[in-house]
Amino acid sequence: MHGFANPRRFLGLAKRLTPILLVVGLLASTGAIVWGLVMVPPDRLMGETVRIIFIHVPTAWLGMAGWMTIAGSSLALLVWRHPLAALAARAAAIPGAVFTAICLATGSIWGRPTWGTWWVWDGRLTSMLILLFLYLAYIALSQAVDREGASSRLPAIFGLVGAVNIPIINRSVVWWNSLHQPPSITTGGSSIDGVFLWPMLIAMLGFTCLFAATVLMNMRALLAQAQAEARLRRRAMEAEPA
Amino acid sequence: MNTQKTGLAPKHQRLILVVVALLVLVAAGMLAAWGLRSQADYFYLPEDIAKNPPEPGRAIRLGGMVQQGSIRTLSDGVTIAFRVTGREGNAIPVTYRGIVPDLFVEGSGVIANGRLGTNGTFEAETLLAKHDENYTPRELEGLSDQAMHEVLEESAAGTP
Amino acid sequence: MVREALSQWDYVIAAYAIAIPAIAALLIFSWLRMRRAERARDEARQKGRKG
Repeated sequence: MHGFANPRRFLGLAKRLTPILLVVGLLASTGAIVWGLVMVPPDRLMGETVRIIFIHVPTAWLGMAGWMTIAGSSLALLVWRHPLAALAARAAAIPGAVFTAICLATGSIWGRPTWGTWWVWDGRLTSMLILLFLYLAYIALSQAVDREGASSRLPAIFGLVGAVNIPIINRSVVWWNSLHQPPSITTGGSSIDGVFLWPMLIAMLGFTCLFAATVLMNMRALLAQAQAEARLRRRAMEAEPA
Repeated sequence: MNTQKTGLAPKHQRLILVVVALLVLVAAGMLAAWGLRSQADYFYLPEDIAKNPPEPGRAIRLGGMVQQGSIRTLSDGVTIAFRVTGREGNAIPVTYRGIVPDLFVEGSGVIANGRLGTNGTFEAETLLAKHDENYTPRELEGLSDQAMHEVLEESAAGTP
Repeated sequence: MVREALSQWDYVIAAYAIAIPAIAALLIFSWLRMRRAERARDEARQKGRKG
């Protein structure tokens, strides 16, 4: 694990992976969207609006995966003091928030023609909105910590505490009567027909690659900033008369 | 390298501390969610209402399935009446006057905002359609459930 | 029974019209931010060598 603690080794890997993830992600998500918009038949009940599934489900997954990245990196920071963990957690926050916001927006747009309402305060919708607020709080907190020079352990603890919301989002439709339907894909199989399932899985793969590419790009940006600052500090110290 | 001569390595101490804190946190979260069990329900099923009848006139949400063959239009031509069933045998008659969502069909989920009248009929002010977890293309429409399952299994098995 | 009879494609288009530009903006901004930060670092290194 500490093999990637060396920033140079990490940068070498990240520089090779970023373009690969971008190309695979763009190809897969574009292909899945074209497939979903053009080739998929309408749903028995929902009709054409079923096509929203190809963005709603992948963005919901990445909204949650983004927080799991924050929580996992926070754990690595607190326990192993992994030097890149703080960067990884900060790098996942903005893409996670963007995907959560897209999930909420597309869900609302899907809800109007399907359920007959843009929004209700049921367990699933409310816990997903809380996830968006957690992201915004995390971004504000980590920026403040960065500005004030406080310990990066503070946002890490917040990242771990906020992870409690993830199983609640997942189970909300099982525990409580909700307007949102229960999970379609369980360990018992999928109740989504293959004509919808395959483009959805490819969209999930593509969006996940794009998410990972964004996290890597943000990590490289944060790392470069830290290196430039370190160099400035060193030069300022050398300039001081000994 | 950073292992002390006595006791656990600091990183193991930290790991145990964080894991214990996380377990306590998750337990607290689950407990809170459990406490919210009935409050966080978005609607009541017919059996909940049968067990615990609300006073007539109080605004509640009733949810369940639209009973097969129960939708009919009343003599005024705009009010519709149907029956909502839950997981158990109970059925509650509902009346509603207004525009219905496109997914409001018999045998599908519905959530009605309204009040229970004194005669035991639920007077709905708004209707929401509840989608289930099944996504099925329209080509399979009109097939019986049995036939649909056969088609699905065939397509899953890859036979033409 | 009066149905809403909404035009379904409008909702599909609206959903994609929000999602695609949002993801494109996320990628472009992250890319530009990375490029700017790495260039600034490399310039700082160059200056360090010359000085």
